[in-house]
Amino acid sequence: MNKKSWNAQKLAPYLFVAPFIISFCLFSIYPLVSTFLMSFQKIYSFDEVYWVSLDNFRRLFRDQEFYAALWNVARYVFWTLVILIPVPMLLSYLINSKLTPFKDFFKTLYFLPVLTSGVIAGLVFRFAFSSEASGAFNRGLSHVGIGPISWLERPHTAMIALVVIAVWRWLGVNIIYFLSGLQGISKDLYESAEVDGANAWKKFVYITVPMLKPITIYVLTISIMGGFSLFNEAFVYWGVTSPNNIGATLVTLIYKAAFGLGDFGYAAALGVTLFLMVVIVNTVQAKLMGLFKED
Amino acid sequence: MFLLLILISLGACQGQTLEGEQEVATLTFWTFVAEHADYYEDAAASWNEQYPDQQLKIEAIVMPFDQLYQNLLISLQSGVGAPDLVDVELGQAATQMRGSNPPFEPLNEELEPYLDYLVQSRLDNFEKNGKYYGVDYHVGTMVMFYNTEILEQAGIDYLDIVTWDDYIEAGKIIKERTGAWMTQVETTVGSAFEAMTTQQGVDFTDKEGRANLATDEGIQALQLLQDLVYQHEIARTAVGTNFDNEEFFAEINQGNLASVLGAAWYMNRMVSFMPDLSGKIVITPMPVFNEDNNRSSAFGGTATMVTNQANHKVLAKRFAVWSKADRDQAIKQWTLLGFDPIRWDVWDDESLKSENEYTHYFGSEIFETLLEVKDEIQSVKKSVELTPILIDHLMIAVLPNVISEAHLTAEEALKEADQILNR
Amino acid sequence: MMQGKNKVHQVLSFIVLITMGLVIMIPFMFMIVASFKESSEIFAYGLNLNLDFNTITLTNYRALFNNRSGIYWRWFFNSVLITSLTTAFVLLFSSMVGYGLARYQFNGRNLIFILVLAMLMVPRDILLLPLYRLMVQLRLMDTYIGVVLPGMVPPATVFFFRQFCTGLERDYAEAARIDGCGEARIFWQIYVPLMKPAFGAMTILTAMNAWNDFLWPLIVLRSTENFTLPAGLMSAMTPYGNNYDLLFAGSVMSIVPIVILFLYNQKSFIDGLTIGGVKG
Repeated sequence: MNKKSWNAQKLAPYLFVAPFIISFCLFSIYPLVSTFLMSFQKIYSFDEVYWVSLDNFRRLFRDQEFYAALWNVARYVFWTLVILIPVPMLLSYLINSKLTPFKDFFKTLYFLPVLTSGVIAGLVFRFAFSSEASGAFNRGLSHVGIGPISWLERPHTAMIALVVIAVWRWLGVNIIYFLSGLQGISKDLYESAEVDGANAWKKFVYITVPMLKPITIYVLTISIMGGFSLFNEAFVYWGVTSPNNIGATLVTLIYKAAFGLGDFGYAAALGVTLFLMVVIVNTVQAKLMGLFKED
Repeated sequence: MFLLLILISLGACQGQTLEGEQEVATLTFWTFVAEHADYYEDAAASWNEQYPDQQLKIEAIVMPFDQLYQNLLISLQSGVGAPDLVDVELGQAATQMRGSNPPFEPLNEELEPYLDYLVQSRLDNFEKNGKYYGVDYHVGTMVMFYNTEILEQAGIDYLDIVTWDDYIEAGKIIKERTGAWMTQVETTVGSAFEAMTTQQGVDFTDKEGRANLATDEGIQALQLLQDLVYQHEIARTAVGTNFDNEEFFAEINQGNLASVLGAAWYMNRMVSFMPDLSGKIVITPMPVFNEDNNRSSAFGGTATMVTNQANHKVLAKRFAVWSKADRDQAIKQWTLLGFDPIRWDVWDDESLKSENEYTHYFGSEIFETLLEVKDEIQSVKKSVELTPILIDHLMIAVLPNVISEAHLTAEEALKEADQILNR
Repeated sequence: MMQGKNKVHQVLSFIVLITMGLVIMIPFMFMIVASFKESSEIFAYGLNLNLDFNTITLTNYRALFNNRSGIYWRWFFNSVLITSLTTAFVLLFSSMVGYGLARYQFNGRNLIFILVLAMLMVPRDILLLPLYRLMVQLRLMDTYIGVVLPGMVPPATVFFFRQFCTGLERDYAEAARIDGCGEARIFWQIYVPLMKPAFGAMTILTAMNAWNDFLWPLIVLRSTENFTLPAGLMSAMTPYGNNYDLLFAGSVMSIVPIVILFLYNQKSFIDGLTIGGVKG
């Protein structure tokens, strides 16, 4: 090899990863450190900043709204996991089975909601969940004799309203993920099971589910992340102010603190807290996944 | 590299309004009330007539409330995209004007000549560190609107209703004889609660700016509202959650309620959206708890301010003040908007008694009614730093738990509120 | 016996799939139906599937053009522009970085990979405020660049490309080097074509995210003319009666481009996710 190409080969990787480095420093590290610093300040404007050390955090720990949001997020994550892992798994199994026609059609069909924006979905579902008797869901319920429900005004129904959108939108994505996982399961396993006399259900439980473990963990992770980041749908339903905080999420709180009340320091403190929680959850995940043993 | 250059130039071309030296100055104006936009377009025309060498043009944008104030906050703070003039509602004032250097232009100089004639308390609402930042549209006198048609049907004379007890009794009769609600109670605006508290001479915060909602008077006021709905059953929660939207207008139009406790400016909405009820609505002072009470209150308020990003600052400031404080303009607050004007010296002007669409609708004595209570208007102090959080708490915890549903009594809710807010 | 059982299974699963499919489609149907109705009807009767062919109206779609002199299409254009720019840059940079991490051995390789993974964990929302301040300092508020810039190298996409590239043959590169090919050419002419499924998948995902992105553009874009579709449609909920016309017709129209993009890229999308790095 001549010197020129040897140098180029040495240099090349750095050039290739340069975009990430730059972006990382400018748009990740700098803001992260900034948020951290801001959480210790009281900020009136970009020029008027006071150092208040732990005041923001003290306020946070006493803040009813914060706990309400945390509780909402926890419940949301719980329900989305409970519904959005088994159901897509089952559906993808059905779609994948060699007996099913029109596979591609179904894949597309279920994926369509994913393509809509959270805002649009939120707007449509907000109308559907109207408290008036003319709202879509209330009309449906009236057929079974249940009176009009004030969906977006009570805690339990509000959670239902949020989970319904979540299921509608993310069913397709998870189906696709599970489908891709299914491709990786060798057909031989099924065949030998059939030889042993296993029926469809047994095959599903003893082969499919365990083999899908890596994918399931991946879906679990992103679902939890999605739960922590819940904003669009909640914002469209209620803005930043919901009765008894039934619609408060961690991110709507941050938005409200920053752009509703103009208290950037507090918003930053909320951000830092959110970050810490996410890091903890992810570290636990990573240990389970053995991610650091990669490659 | 090349791509980057293209992008940078694209970026630079975006969103910059070129305000060069033009003969006619264009002033952008953000508001959340379409009628205010109309008022300003009219004001601009009048200004141009009076000051032909200082022509201006108003570009009004009407936005939903939340959006307006979130946008304003970001624009003012980031230094980009703020309008020249903007309506700042009283509840938002503390937030938008926070810090020792509010991002608005002080109007003291321009206000000088008018100070003697303006209702001081309305100016104080938007004052900080000795500087006045905006002039209101109105005084915000709270009155009771009665649908006389419904009342007659039930055999009630509105003049007989003096105390809140009278009101309750009348309400029961009306419900029984006509099936109509006596009133509806808002769940996303606290105007009734405020008015009924301040009429008793009490505020929401104490001298140190701490929350003091759970006063005897405050509790009495809020409890009455709850009782109207749940005990006496002569009221329901407002359709549309507050009075200022289409759904509620429909309720009034359909004759579903006999009375509304609202600010004088609500006359404007009635004329615009409930024309069929013309001649059937009267305004009277508020009922009272006891003799010592004021029969009115001042609620809300919106001042038009000049931002620190305004082009043509001098012109904007002069115009902003003139558009409200000038004598003829103040008269227009009544004739055009049906608002009680911000200048007390026009209140007994002839033009306020003359026929306009408002006298036509409500009868010619409306201004006398307003004059009757002009010394009885006290409002909640909203320039306290706690204000936005306090109002937020009312929206989130007090109104939903006391009015939307009767989870808590007024006393429980207000005591809890004080506790949480004063931590 | 075996055959009969299979038939039953087939029919059952088909029924389940179709039913679920219909349920999924209902909101879309509401939206489409509502877009053809008068605002007053929606206000009075809410959303439903009744489509009285006598009252079908195109006024809503016309309103897209008339309302505030067709500002809807301005929003549409903004969304298209921002989405295209974002997708182009994301694909370019992420593939570069992913390739670099996968194909080369160099100092700091593992460190950088760990940084990528670490950033995966950070929710973008907590970075919003300082990013916003940064945009102010860089004078990029209310610009398209301001919207696009921070998101040009997303860790998730980098991660995906990296996984994908580790599965590709090394030999091509060696052969090309011996022939005297520069590194850049090796990347462009040999590997990029090999990464086609990955590009297919990431195109859809990136475009979709950019097209639907709400919060960041909401903060950066200050003038109504510069809004993207989600922000614009939200702003259509006006103080006095909502602009139902703009809302539903506008929503329907805004879904169209991304659906078309998806249908076009469908095969490579699914292949890309399958072959690529979605394995644990």
